[in-house]
Amino acid sequence: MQRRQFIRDLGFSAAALPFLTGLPGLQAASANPSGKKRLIIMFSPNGTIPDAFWPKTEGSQFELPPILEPLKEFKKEMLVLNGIYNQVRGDGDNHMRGMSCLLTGSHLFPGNIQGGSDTPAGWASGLSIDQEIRNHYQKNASTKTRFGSLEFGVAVPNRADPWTRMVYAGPNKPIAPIADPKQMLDKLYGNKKDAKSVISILDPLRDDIKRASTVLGKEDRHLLDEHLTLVRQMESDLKESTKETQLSHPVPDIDPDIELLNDNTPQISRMQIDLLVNSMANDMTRIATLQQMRSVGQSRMHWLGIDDGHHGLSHEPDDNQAAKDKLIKINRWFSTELAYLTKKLKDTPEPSGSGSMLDHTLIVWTNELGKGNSHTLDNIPFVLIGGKAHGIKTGRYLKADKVAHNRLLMGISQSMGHPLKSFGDAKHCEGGAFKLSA
Amino acid sequence: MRDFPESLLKMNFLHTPRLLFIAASMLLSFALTPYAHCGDLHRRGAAIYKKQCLDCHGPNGEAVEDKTDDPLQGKRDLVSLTKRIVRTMPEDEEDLCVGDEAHAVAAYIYDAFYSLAARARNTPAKIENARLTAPQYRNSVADLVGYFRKNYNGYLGEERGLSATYTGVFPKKDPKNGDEKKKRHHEKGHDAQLHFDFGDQLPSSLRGKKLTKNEFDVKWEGSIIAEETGVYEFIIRTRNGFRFHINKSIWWKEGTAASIDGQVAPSNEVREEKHRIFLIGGRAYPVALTFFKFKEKLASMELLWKPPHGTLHTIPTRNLYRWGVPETLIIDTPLPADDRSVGYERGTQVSRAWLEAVTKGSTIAAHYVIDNLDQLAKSKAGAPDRDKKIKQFALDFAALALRHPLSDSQKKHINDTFFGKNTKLEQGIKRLVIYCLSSPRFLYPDLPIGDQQNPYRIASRLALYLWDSVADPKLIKAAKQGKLKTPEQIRKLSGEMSWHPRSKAKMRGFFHHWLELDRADNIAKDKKTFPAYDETLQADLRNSLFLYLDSVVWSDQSDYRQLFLADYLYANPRMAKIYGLKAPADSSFQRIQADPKQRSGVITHPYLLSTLAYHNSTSPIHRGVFLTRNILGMPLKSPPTANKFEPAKFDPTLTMREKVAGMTRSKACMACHVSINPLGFSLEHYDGIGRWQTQDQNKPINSTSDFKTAAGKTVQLRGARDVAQLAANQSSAHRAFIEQLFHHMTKQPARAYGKNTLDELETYFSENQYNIVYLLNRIAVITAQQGVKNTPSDS
Repeated sequence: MQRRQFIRDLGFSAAALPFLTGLPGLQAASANPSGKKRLIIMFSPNGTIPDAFWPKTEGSQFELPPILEPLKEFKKEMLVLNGIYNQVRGDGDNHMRGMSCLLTGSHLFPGNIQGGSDTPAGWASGLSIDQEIRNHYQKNASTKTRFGSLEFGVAVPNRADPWTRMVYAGPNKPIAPIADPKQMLDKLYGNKKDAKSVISILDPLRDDIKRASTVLGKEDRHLLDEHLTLVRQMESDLKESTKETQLSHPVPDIDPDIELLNDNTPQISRMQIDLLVNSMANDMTRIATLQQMRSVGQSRMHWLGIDDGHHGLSHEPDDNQAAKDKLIKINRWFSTELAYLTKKLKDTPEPSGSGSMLDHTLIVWTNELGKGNSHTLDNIPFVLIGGKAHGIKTGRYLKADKVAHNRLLMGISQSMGHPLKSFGDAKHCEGGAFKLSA
Repeated sequence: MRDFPESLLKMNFLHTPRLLFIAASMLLSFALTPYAHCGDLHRRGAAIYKKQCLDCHGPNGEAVEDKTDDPLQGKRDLVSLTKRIVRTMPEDEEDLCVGDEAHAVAAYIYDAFYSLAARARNTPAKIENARLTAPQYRNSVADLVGYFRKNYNGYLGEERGLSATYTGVFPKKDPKNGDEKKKRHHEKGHDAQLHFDFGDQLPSSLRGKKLTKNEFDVKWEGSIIAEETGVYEFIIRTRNGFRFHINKSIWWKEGTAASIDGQVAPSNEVREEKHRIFLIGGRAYPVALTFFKFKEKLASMELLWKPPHGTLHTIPTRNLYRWGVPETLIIDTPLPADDRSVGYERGTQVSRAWLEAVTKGSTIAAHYVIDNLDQLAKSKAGAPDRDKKIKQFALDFAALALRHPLSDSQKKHINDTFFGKNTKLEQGIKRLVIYCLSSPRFLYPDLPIGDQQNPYRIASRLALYLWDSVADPKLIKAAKQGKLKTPEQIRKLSGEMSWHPRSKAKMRGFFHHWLELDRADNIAKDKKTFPAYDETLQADLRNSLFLYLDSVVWSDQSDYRQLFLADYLYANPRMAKIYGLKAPADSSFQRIQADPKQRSGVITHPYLLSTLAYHNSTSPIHRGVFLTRNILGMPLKSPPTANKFEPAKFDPTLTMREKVAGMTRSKACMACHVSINPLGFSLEHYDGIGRWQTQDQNKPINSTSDFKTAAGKTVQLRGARDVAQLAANQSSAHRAFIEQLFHHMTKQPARAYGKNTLDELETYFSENQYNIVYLLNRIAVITAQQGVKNTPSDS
């Protein structure tokens, strides 16, 4: 439906052309080319394996344990952040609060959704940090973009509950990630692709109209003649609208007709990452989230040779070495996807600016739990990559002292140029924004 | 919207373009007596024209070479044309033709050859090549795709309400064993409406079974009938969790997005969640609602909607069916309004906006087809025969869209064009769908390519004229088997088609057109004068009218006369109270017997009467003009002078009848008001919202006048029922009904099918007890056998 709606919203008319040519983002780019800052938050579920994730040595001489090892190429651009606690309590089990409070820092409203323990709960009571920054960016002509933010999902099921939603537009207003690359491609470039399809049939169509008019008398033919003229006008407009020159980066050459099956997840993940980087390169958005699966997700990662469901495995006790090995494999897969994203950004020069796109993009990788089998909300995994333009001091492992994650969200917002006095539940904001710069 | 009554007052309503269009159509209908009431004026005008204008303009305004360049045709109204003549004609002798003379000559020119109506009349009638109108386009695209679905257009059954499955849970036996699978209990049933306040109890069907009170869920499913085309707002009012699906065939499949995903109840308070969707009227759509209560204290659920022209209310039982249907592809792109300049909508104009809209429609359809490809092609992902099945689907789709079986060379052409070596299957399908839906063969349904008598052409016309759509598989099969050749064969199939929901929807469109219900969109009544009239009452009245019209048309007798003579109304308690009717037994609409002196068919229906009235009073002129033209089928011209009727400017002690009579007493006015006034006055017993009244300005209502019928006979009209008798029995009224129905069905002039077409239909109508469905059928049979003429190009 969203796809159709999107197509409906875009016409082929001349009136729609400014929509393509005069994207506010493109104008903004020329006005303020070097100061561009972006944010990508990637989520993966069900906690991490602490001893395979956290380095032992603080500071710049940190090691890369197995889960972080796929990111070694970016060690200098990376800030591994320990000691961040999700301190939001109240209704809902830890998976729910881990997920729906992760980016909101706000407690959950009471509700009817029952988790494995604790009281039932509903949606988060506040908006998420990405949307907070998005709203700020959309208010200002120099940071405004066509979409403001894009919410990507990978293998996120089509059901709305506090385990599947981490992005919130406001209290009780979860935003569903788009987990279908085809839907995302259509959202980003649908009108252009449709225009090309229409152009492709215009030759036979013109012939048909001409042929049809030969069987009609003079008066009746008039209608078809007019039709033909209109088709010619439309054709030139469509060709104008599909000129590639308007995009600094061409539409990614992916085949989005992929079934949304568990086993296709690796391809879907790559497509979504390609689309994400592409949409940012074309300045359609500066804020994006990439939600890999969902909290309590039971993805069976056959492509890693693992037949068990992820969430089930995450409950296994620490002494189950086989389960632990599998979980490390699973988390390594997530960090591999993160590495793919990072590399793409690093390899892409900043459009009309200096350095690479990675320099202007802060990537945050996180999880709803500190550890799967204990369901702890302490020591939530945070890895920050890139963000040179944001002033992030990278190339280090930092152990914070039980800092509420609200303060980190404020720190991220500050680095994006949007300082906040408080974010989410105010009681967790004492001490202000967590300092990420030198 | 609200300011309409004021603007109505400011404007001389007889000079709105809309009414001129109607005048045009009526003149068309009565070509033999176009100037029945204006003989003198035109005779004088013709004489002046001959003397002062003919030399340069030619006998029929066609222009004389070297003297004038352009023919005397245009878009000015009569007043503006008169002014121009006074100012500029005759050339260099401008003072020669002014005042009454200018008026007379202008009136003659206008009606003889200048106006659109005159030009239409002077052009020999023929079946015109036309594109699909907006409703035809939407229905055609929807069905074109829908016919590939299983059980599409299947029988809905008569059982109203929605099927329901109530599920409860037994308390756990062993509280320590938290992981024990819950034992459930299911109860199947149905509900007439979804409006429940369960409180802290289980639903009644789950009580007494030792189930826990903590939790239960309900699944409701079935179909919903949308009566009108437009945007519907569905509203779920609940304290609990739910998922709502509208127009989704396979909603239960994991991964299907809900129309509203309301699983999370943010609190146990009542909340409302909304979903807006454009629906094509006259169709059933699948609907499903899953509801669950879990540990919350209270439970409630209500399914409401706000249909087009309606107000927010619980979805009535009559719109709900227990059986499910497949979903429908809806092209909800706005389409530009169709041309109505001859009095009925037809596709005789193309524009930039139209081309963009249908192109957008074709891409929406293409995406839909790709998204549902395996269902439509009956193929399976990964199956070895998938390619083959999809390519076969492509050919079948093309044949249906292009309105003819494909020849081998056409099949090859399609394969080569859309399924070449380097094209992906889905991409080929996408382009093919866009191509087919952009093709002139699809958009111009009666293009004379090939033999216009061949059975596929006949099938296509039957579907277009009766359903506003494309031929269904049954029609195609009949065409293929040679069962659409003789008039008898065509009659038989058309007879079956007349009872199809699509035909009923089209009939609704006809009533909209015949009763000029567009006016209803702008009704606003003075709150002081009519405090009872609000949006809710207006929606009730509309329902009441259509329930009545449907009950007449789709009864066994289908008797046209009952449209005028019925002495009952459909009413719910709210409406019954306001109109002094006996209250129905329950809250739904019921047929209520009225006093036969007070109610007589459609012309006394409060909805219609409300539309034909000012915001704070009746309007005999509106009512009289409507009855003269639309109901009694008598011609009226546009008024000779522009006069504004402003009731407020009259002595306030005068009755409405006295004001109108005073205003229109001049000879010039009376040319037409001689019939407008008596008809309008006959409805003076109905106030501005159609309630029965006996007094006006403390004087008893006088609804009696003499009236000269179309046949020239003078009769006394005492009130509405006398007018209704005329409408039921007078030939000109039958003819007006037949012709307007003809236009609505075919979008073609009746004369194009033979000079005597209307005469024959009139005879047929009277010989068949004025059976409307028979008439529909008859018109379809006549028009299905003739198409746009194949005229080989002369260039």
